[in-house]
Formats: sequence, C-alpha cells, structure tokens
Amino acid sequence: MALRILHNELFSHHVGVMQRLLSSERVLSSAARTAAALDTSNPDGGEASNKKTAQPKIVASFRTQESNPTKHKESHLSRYYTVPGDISKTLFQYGGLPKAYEKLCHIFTETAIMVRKPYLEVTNCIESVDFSKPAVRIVLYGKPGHGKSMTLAHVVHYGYSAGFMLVHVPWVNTFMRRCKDASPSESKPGMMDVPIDAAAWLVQFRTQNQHLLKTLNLKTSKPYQYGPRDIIEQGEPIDALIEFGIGRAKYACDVVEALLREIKGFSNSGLVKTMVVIDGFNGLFAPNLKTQRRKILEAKCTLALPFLEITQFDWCNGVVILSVDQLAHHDMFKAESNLPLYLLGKEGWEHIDPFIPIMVDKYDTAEMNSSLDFYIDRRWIQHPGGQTEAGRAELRSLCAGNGFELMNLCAPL
Amino acid sequence: MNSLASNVLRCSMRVSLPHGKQAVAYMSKSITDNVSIRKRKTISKAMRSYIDRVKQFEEGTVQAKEEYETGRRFLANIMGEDPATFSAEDVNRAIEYLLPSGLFEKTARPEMLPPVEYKQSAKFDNTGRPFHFLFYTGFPHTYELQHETVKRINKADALLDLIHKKGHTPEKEHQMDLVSTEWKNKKEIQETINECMKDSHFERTMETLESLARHPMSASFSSFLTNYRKPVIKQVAEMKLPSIQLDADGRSFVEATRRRKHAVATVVIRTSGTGKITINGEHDILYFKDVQAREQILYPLQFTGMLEKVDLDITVEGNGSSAQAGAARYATAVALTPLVNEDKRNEMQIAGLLNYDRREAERKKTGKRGARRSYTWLKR
Repeated sequence: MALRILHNELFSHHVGVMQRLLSSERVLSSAARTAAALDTSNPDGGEASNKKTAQPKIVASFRTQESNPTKHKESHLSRYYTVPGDISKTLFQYGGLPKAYEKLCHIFTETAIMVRKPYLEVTNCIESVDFSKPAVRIVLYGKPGHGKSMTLAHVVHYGYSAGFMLVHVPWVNTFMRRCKDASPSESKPGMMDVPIDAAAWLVQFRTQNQHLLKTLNLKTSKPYQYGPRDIIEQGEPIDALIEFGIGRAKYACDVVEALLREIKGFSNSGLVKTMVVIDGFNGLFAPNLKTQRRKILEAKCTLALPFLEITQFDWCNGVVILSVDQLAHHDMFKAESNLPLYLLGKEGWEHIDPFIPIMVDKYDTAEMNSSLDFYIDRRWIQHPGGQTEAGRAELRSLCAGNGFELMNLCAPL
Repeated sequence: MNSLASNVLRCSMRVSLPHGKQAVAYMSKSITDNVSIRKRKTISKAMRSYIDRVKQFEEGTVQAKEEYETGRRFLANIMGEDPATFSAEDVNRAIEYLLPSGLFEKTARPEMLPPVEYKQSAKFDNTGRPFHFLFYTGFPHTYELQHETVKRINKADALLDLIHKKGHTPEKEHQMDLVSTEWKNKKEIQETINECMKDSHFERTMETLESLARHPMSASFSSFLTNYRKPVIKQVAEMKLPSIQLDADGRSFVEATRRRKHAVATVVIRTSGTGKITINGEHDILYFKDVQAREQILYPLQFTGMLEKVDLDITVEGNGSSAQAGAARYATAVALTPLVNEDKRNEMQIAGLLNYDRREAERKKTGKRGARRSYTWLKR
C-alpha cells in the first residue's frame, strides 16, 4: 500500500533527470542483470556474440535485439524490441502509439514494443494469405488497455519492413469525434467534410510511404478536376495528387477518396502490396459527427467513406487489419461489451463480414514480469518497494494483467 | 400492630405515568385506618411525612390506572377489538397505527404505557428508626460490603493459620479461579448493591475485594465473590471460523459473507490458486475503478502472505464502490481465518481485519441539504 507515493509536481524534473540518466547507456537493474547472466539461450544474443567475440553485448531477459518485426517468432514472445529511431519517427510521428505510451517513449528515449501472441497470429495470417485473392480482413478486439493499439503499431512496423504500402489510420475518432473543422461537402451533398483532418492524414500517408512513393513512380490513372483551375492530369505522379490535397485542404476529403481508389488500382494491377491498418474501426459507423468543440453535427462524414471503401473485399494484393474498441464507440460510456458484434452494430457487421477475429487478451505472468522489468530498467519504477518480489506481486494483482493500468500504477512509483 | 404496620409499609410502589414521567412514592393498603388507631406519640416526624407521601401517591396511582384503563378500552373500541382481551401490546400497536410518527428517535414517538409498579422497602420503622445499622453513613450498602469483605478476610486468615499450624501449605485449589471471571465495573456493582457509589468508595471497595480474592484461602468465599465478578468474554477463542469445504474437483474452498454499509459481499477463497480474482462472475479486479478499493481487497491477502496463492471469487452488491470493497475485504479476511494459524488470526484481529466497520452515512437533517451542509444562501 505504501508503494504509491505521489510526486506529480516533481514530474517535469523527473523527466529531465531520466533523460540524462538513460541517454548515455542502457542501465540494467540488478534483477535484469542476474537474469541476463542466465540468459544463454537468448535466440539473438547468440548471433550477436558470434559476430563480436571480443565483447558480447549484455541483453536483459526482457529484451530482444531483433528489431526487424518480420523475424519475430515464438521465441521472442513477451520480450521488448526497440523500433529504430528513424523508423519510429517515420511511422509514429503523426500518431499510431497510444498517447500515454508516446509520452513514455519520449521519456525512455526509445520506442519499445513487446512481442505478443496476437501480433504473431496477425503475421501468421498475413504470411499465409494468398494475395491474388480478395483482401483478407482481420479484426482485433479486446478490453481497453490490453494492447490492441500497441499490437497494431507493431503490425504497422511489420508492414513497413515487409514493404507494404501503408494506409494507416491511427485513431478513427480523431476525425469522427474530435474533428478540428467541419464544413458541408460540395461533392457529396448532405455530408460533412473534415478538411484539416483529411489533409493531416495525407501528410501522414506521405511520410509513412515516402520510400515507396519515391521508388515505385506511381501515376494517376485518370484526370481529376476539383475546381476550374485545380486540375490533375492523367499520368501525373501520385505525389502531385497528395500535394494538392495537402495544399488545398478544401478538397482534401475528395483527394483521400481518389488516392485510396488509385491505391486499390495499383494493388489490383500488382504494383504494390497494401496494408490497411485502422484503429478504432467501429468509430466509422457513428451516426453523427462531433467536433473538437463538442458540437454534434447530424451528418455523415465524407472522410469515413474512403476508409469504408478500402476495407471491402473487392480488391486484391492487400490485407486489412482493423481493431474494434469500446473507447471508439460513439457513446463510449454506454458501451457494454468489447465484442465485435456489439461494437460494429448491424451495419458494421454486414460491412466487414467475413473476417478473422483475433482476441487481444490480458498480459500473462511472463508478460507482466517482462513489463515490470522494463519499467525498472527504464527507471520508471524507482521506489525500492516496487523492485521487491512483494511489490511486484502487489502491482501484478492490482492491475489484473491490464498493461495500461500497470503503466498508470507505476507512474507515481 | 407494630409489626403489621411495618410489613404493610414495606410494600411500596413506583408508578410510570402514561406520558412517561416517573414519580416515586410509597403506598400501603388500608394505611389510613391503621394510622388512626395508633397513638400519635409513637409516630415520628419522618414517619408521618412518609405516610403522607404514600397517601398522596396512592391516589395518583389509582387515577393513572383508571386513565390507562379508559384509554385501553377506548383504543380497543377504535380498533374494533374486544376490550376484555385488549392487552398492553395491542395498545402499543394501536398507538403506532393511529399516530404514525416519522421521528427518528424512538423514545420521542407517542406511546401509552401502563403504570409500572415496583417494590422498595421503607428504610426505617414506624418509630423513625432506620433498619440498616449503617443508615446514617449515607452509603449503608457500600460500607456493609466493605465490612462483609473484611470479615471474610479475617476468616480466611484464620483458615490459613489452621493449615500452617498443621504444618501444611495451602494447595492451589484453596484459591479461587480468577482467570475465567473478571471484576464487574462500577455501574454493575452499583446495580448489584442497589446504591450509588462515589469513585473513592468504589476504589476502596474494589481494593478490599481484591485482597480477599488474592488470599490463598479465597476458594471458600467464592460464592460471595462471584456476586461481584462476571465471566470473561474471549472474542478470538470463541470466534466461529468458516469451515473448509471440498468442491467437485477436490479443491478446498472457504466461503464467507460479510457486510459494510448496505453492501453485501460473498467471497469464496479457493486454495492452491494463482491469484485470480473474479468479481460478480464476469469482471476481474478492475471492476473497481479506483485503486484504493482494489488495495482494500488485496490487503487481507497481503497481510496473510496469500497473494497469488489463492483464487478469489467475489459476489458483491449494493452501495458504492468503497462500501463494496470494504465488504469484500471483511469477507475475504474472515474466509482466510481457517487457512492461517492461530497467531496470524490474532494478528488479523488486532489489525482490525476481522471487525465489522460500523460507520454509516449520517442521516439527512431537515433544513439542511445533507447531513451537515446548509442550502445555498439566497438573498431575498
């Protein structure tokens, strides 16, 4: 009980000290160090020591050096891997990690993600998919805090490493429930545009797929005319379309629609393989639109349409990974269940059926311990009581395998 | 004549009037007739005033009885029942029915009680001479008790001398068993001797009693001493532990139900578990959003070192989260008692884990928004 000491006022100071402590070298806790000494069967530690026989690198038991997610397998389960800094910046600069964890990553000076069972299930599915057949839909579900978004972040990294074109929506409700601006659509009467959010998404798309856009030299398949002088000719590079959308936010929603249709076309013609990752997918079926200023607009959102279109199975060379979340429900306090049938509703279920459901379960004991080791290693748990077995048992029992809850519990320690 | 009058005078009454006020006086049957026959000389002033008081009170009692009887029959008629069989209980029920009261304090509610009688002997005879030899000390029974005790101490000394003369030493059974009983407190002693005591008197009396009780020959006087002693209530020893049962899988479990405020929790603890906690069948410990409530449930497990060793199955309902957590904590602690040793059980008792938390929400007051808070002040 005495573990929880509140020192919020020291938080900012704490962050500064942490960064100074952690920047120079990774500090191992005593527990981790003993575990590392025993860790001779580490699958990648062995490789590392073969290459540099002079100085084998000490790897804690809760970590893995394998930073390529395509190579993650059962032996890496419940270990943390670090997303390389540049890739992390490319992928998660505009969101993709849960906000609270993003803050922690900043403090820890690394983006560490745990290899978990649902991730391996997803990658197994992707690897065994026949890409000449219609796109397979995978739906992650589970209780809030069990790691759906973290699994999706891991999957995004996988997609990036495996050379997929990423269509990644970090959180649907950023434009469905908290849109920055909404205006009546010109192209689709009776619906609302969310220009700023659409433009922001285009920026994110451009950043995440920079390498593919540069190398593949993709071109538009038909001309687009938005205004009298806003014309994009057929055969122009797809970058031009994106640039136009970003520059003229007024047309950004229409550009997103056109862009996703183009991507479908590229995938069908076999130019690229596409991975669609949408977090909080059930948010797209909300009956209304809510702005950042909590104004409720009784109209459908035009930006939802292209994402609904790309999650259909009328195209090939793609894989669709979605998550349904209680927190993405249009009235999240009234959401009673976390099961897809309830969260998607009739409309959503009919849209997404058939799909592969994957449950993201709570942490097991190994994952819990690994997580605690990680926090102790990153000095997120500094209280001496938190490092004893009794303290760890208390933390394990208090959070009941919920990763988010554990993070919150450890914050004041 | 003398003896007759004194016998009659010893019958006295205490009457409780219907409105609850009590008056004490003395009465006797046919006392006026007797007085008129007797010579005036022999009656002291004290006796006369006493007789007057008795007479006055007798009249009051008769009137009160008549009034009560009338009221009783009236109520019986109102209630449509037979007045002959309408008892005092029926009267109370009728009053409660006819004059319903929302008052919180039960003694403030309307009631109608029959005049209560009780007998207390007059403290002096008809010559005005007190019966008790210590009457003029002001505390006759207190001093009498001290006298009696000292008498017995002297007797005990004599008995001890006899034994010593025979060349023996007193056995252990010659002394009274003082473990199973303890001294009554001041209030109880006062009730026993039927007299108010000063603190100094009480201390002195207890010292005297104590020296008799500690005497090596006190066993002979145990019947005297037990009047001033009461049995010790051992809570822990008499604590009824829930039984350990076996379920279909051959796993042992303990079940306990306890309350806090209006929340009721039933906890089933299964041994050789992994620390799995289920609440109301479908939730884990995160059923409680606040950390404090979760800590409450884990506390008995931590205290007994059972964390992650037993599985908990909690069913809880009623009230808010902290009351539910309190009830679950209490039930968990009680269910753990048969699984730990005696010492740990005592420690749990001392830590307050096995006590009912009797705090409850304070009642709302009229003219207030809640228990204490006033309504927002409005300038007219």
